[in-house]
Amino acid sequence: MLALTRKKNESIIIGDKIEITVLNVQGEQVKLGISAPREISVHRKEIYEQICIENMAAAQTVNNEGDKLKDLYSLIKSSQPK
Amino acid sequence: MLHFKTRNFGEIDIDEKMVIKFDSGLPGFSDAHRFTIICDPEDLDDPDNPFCWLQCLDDTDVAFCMVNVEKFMPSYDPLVDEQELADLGECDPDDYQIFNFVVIPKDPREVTVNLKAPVIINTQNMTGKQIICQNDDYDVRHYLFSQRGVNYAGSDKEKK
Repeated sequence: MLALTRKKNESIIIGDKIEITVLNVQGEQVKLGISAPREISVHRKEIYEQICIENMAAAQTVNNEGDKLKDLYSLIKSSQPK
Repeated sequence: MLHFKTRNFGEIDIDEKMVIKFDSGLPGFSDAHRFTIICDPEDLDDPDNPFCWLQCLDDTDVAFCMVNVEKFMPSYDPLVDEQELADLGECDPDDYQIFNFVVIPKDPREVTVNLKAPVIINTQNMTGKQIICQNDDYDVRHYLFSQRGVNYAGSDKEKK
């Protein structure tokens, strides 16, 4: 990992198109501004990792499990009060 | 017609007009840009079947089971960053379709849905994106058939 030290209002540029600017520093919190092309998504790491994990789990589902789900849903619907 | 051999559905033929472009890919699947939706022969609005599949065309082993959450939770209302939505291009509000990925464990009654990161599709220009919504109270792993939900660690209160 490359480590660079920046002060408030200083920036880092990644490749040609991604720029990260230190907007504010307050105590332990650093506020960062990110500009990137629209096809590159930017997220807080911990939530992004969580979504990746869930997506991997979701991609493990095979079609016959989907059928089980359909039957289950029908059962639930038919047992619900009208 | 485009022809694909898929792991889940065998050989399928897809009209080019039914290809949905995910320019940003999906978290964990950054090279997956082309998808199509596969429903059972019944209409997606059939109350007995709120589920469908998002089949990847770039990697035909990859498919996601999705659900139309509103059928279970009419109050589902993900708050999405305007800029992220703008990435999908212009769209009439009624022409967005929102789906959520579903994880089906061994016991299907324990199925969970990712409320935190809905998949939003602009059906006018056939583009899609999985967008992480700003709601603190939506889980990545919400039990579809019960009141339980599992919060992810950390809360996301700052605006972009």
